[in-house]
Formats: sequence, C-alpha cells, structure tokens
Amino acid sequence: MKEKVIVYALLLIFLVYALFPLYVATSASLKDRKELFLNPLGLPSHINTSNYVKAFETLKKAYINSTFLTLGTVIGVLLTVPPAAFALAKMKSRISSVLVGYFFFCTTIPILLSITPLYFIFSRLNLINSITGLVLIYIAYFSPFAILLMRSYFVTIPDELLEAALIDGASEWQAFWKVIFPIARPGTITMVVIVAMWSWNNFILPLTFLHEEGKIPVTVALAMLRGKWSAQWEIIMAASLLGALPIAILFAILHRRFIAGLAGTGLKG
Amino acid sequence: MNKEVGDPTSLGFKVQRRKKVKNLFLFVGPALLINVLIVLIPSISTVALSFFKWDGINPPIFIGFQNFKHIFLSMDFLQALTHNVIWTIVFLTIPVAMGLIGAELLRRSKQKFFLAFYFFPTILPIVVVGIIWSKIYHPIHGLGKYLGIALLGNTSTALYAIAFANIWAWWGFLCAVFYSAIQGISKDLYEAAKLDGATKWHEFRYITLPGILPTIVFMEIMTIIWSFQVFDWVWVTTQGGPAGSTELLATLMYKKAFYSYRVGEASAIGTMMAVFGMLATLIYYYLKRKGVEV
Repeated sequence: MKEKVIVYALLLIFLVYALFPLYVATSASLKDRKELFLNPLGLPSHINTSNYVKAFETLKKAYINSTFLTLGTVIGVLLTVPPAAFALAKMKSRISSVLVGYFFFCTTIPILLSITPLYFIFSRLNLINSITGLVLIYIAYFSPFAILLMRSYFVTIPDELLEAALIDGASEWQAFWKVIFPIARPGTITMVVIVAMWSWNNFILPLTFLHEEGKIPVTVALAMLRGKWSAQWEIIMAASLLGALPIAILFAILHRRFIAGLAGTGLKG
Repeated sequence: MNKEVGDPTSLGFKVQRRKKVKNLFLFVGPALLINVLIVLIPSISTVALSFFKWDGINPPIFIGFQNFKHIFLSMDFLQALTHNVIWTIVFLTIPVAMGLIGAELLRRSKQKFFLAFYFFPTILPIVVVGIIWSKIYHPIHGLGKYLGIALLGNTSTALYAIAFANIWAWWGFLCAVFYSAIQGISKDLYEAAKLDGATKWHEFRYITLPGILPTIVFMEIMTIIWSFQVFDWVWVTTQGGPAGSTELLATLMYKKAFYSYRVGEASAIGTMMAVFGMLATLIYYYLKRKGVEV
C-alpha cells in the first residue's frame, strides 16, 4: 500500500513537470501586459483572448506556408516511401540489404553535413525561397526513417498475399498498390503523422532555404517574433502556442501512433 | 532465390536476377534518387570542401589539412567541442535515468495513461519549446524574477539552462522507448520473482534492467550521435551567447558557413561532427561483435 502511494506520487510529480511549462505559456498568453509584469507565473485574473487575435493576424501567412510545406511533403513521401519500404522488406537480395544499411546510416548523419553545398546548389538552380524546393529537401531528409519504419510493417505481411495477387496476373507494381499498400494502412498512417510533424516543426531547413517574409513557415516566423515584439511576452506566448496547436491536435487524436512509430523498438539494429 | 531455376550459372538465373534487380530499383528508385541528390552528394561535397579554402563565390583553392589544423588550434572550435562533450555527458545520464524511472513506475502501476503526457513535449516544435523556456527563465517575466538571476544571460549557467529545457522535451521519448522495451520482457519472470520474495528494487535491478539493456545501449549510442547535432535549441534561445558560452559545433559551423563565408572551415567542422557520430556507431558495432548482449 505504502509502496503504491510512492509510485503514484512520483508519477504525478513527473506529470506536473511535463505540464508546468505549458501552464506557464498558457497563463501568460491570457494576461495583458501589466498583469504579466506584476504576476508573471500565477493564474490570470480573467480570460483575455486578444493576444491570440493579434498573434493569429501576424502568423496567418506563415500558417499557410507551413500547411503547404507539410501537405507537399506528405504527398511526396506517400508516393515514394511505401514502394521503397516494400521492396526492401520483400525483394531480398544483397543490394536490398546494402540499401537498408544505407538508409539507416542516413538517419545518423547530421543535416549540417550537407546543408552548405546544398545551399549553393539550390541557389544556382534558383530554388532558394521556393516552397517546392524545400518540399524536395524534406522528402529527401525524412524518407530514410520513413522507409525503415514502413519496412518494419511490411516485413510482418505474409508473402502468400503477394503471391496470390501475382498469380492473378498483376505485375508486382500493381499488386503492391492494389493489395499490399491498403493492408499496410496502420503503418502508412503512422509514417504520415511523423513526417507531417517533422515537416511542421523543422526549423534549420526553412531558416536556410526560405528568406522572403511571404514564404517563411511558422517556426521561422516565431523565432523572428522575439525580435519584432521584443518584450511582449504575452503575444509571443500566444503565438507559440498557436504554432504548436496543429501538432498538438494531431497528437491528441493519434498519440498511440506517434509513440509506436517513434519509440517502438522495431527500428533497433 | 528462385528454386525452379536451380543452377546459379544458367542463363535463366541471370535473367531472373537482372529482372529482380530492375524491379527493386523500380520500387526504391524514386526515394533513393531524391536522397542521393539532396543528402548523399552534398554530404560528400562537404567532406571534400573541408580540404579547400572557399568563400562561396570565387573558385575554391585546395589547401590540404589546413582547415582542420586551423579549427583545432582555434579557441572557438575547442570551446564549442567542450560544450558538445558536456552536453553529451548530461544527456547520457540525466534523461536516461529519468526515462528508466518513469518506465519502471509505469510498469508497476500499469497506468499507461501517463505516458501520453510524458511523451507530448517531445513532439512539439523545438522553436516553440525554446521560446517558452526563454520566458520561464526570463529575469523579469519568469522565474528569474524570483531567483534573482538571468539563467540564459549568465555565462556559467546558460548552457545548463538550455540543456535543462531540452531534457524536459526529451526524457519522455526515452521513457516511451524503455516502456515499450519492457513490454517485451516475459511477465512470468516478474511473477516468479514475486513468488521468490524479490523486492521491487530486485525486480528492477535483476529483471527490467538486464531485459532492456540492449535498448539502453542503443539509445546511449544514439544520444552521442544526436548530441553532436544540436542546433535549434541554442539558435532560438541564445544564438551561442553570452560570450560564446552556449556555442555548439552546429551553431559555430552555421555561422561560419552563412555569416562569415568561411565555407572550408565550416565544412571541416561539419566533417568532424559526422566523424564523432560515426565513432559512436563504430563503438556500437564493436560492442555487438564483442558479444555484449546489445
């Protein structure tokens, strides 16, 4: 009994720790300037949503840009990742195992190792300030993990299913999209939410490849807000929470898939 | 291998094999091509550029190992490297311990409900979390008001303050990884231990810990790799300041490449970051080969 109390007390301490910064941000975003100054960490005396209105006005364009970036990347990985993951799971050969090793290696090398030459290549090709250009970069960086993740789902699908489809006279390509891909839906959804999260959250890539103010996504816009509204923390907090909101909603609905996809031990080794 | 073909030297086998490879590339090709063009070729270029002097405009000049010699003799690189080593040590220990404790508590209580809350901070944009913690530390609008210290503005505390914020947005990930690994341990082991009168500590020490040791080792190796890549956290909170006290290899490299146009030196730093990551990977495979159960 006593032990149980200690276990729950510790779990609650971790819970408070996990929620505390979110409480600070939320309470600050609901205060006006004067109240924030007098009482920076306490509860707001009344609910005041005007900061959110101001924050949303400033972030509107960046929201649209982030949405395009995220949707473009999701469509791109949906077209390229599932067939690659399937082939690496089911068409076993020396080459496929080398490629699995290569994609794992890709997940460990730093973005910074490639960013400088890539910047010069992209500026030669006039792809700086191009959202489409950045979508291509996102696809390239996020697909190695996405391929390994989906591969771990395809490995569990029995070979007989594919063989049955092939006997019906379909080519492997058709058999994949018509039979195997629909079965792998749980894996696909997991892969998509993780890629969407990474696309929305990424900072260093848009910081480097998008400079025009009309093109920047939410993350870069937020980092610039601090210069713009140097001490107006109530608005900065409202804007920050708005910037995280789409991901928070996605997590609220699909948290099991996030946890399984990112923290499941399927990728180990 | 296809059984009907039999003799691996026969023509039929070769055709079959070529068809198989062609098919493989039909499926993997698009993803691989984008990756090679955008990740692999530029990465190799960076390694190559680290042997050149280049401002990004004029033709690069080959200078051998001069960039490496230069960075290893310069204070800013050594300082950033030290910060990365401190960062690695902090992350190898504190969040791993927190994750282990969290996972074991979740196992004992069977209250998986908490896990989603612990995990939630790890999926938020680092920019958002960095800004929120800047506010928490703020000397007027945050804890600093009560502590009487600007944690991010002080050269002796800033790096640890950023690391502390990062731990908040990281330990829940480790907790989930360890919890998921614990699910793979046979429940019978815990039952048997209970019958033998084992304490809760014994359960943790002799069942949980050895049961998930491979996962712990793997996460420690990944921690080393990731610790040398940290960029966003510093960029949104302090940009390396005050007085370089939070400069990391990644931020130093970024500044050299895009602000001072010393592409060669920046590339040498980038190459070193990758080398440290690869050393960690080598340690992992060395441990694996040595038969340590990882």
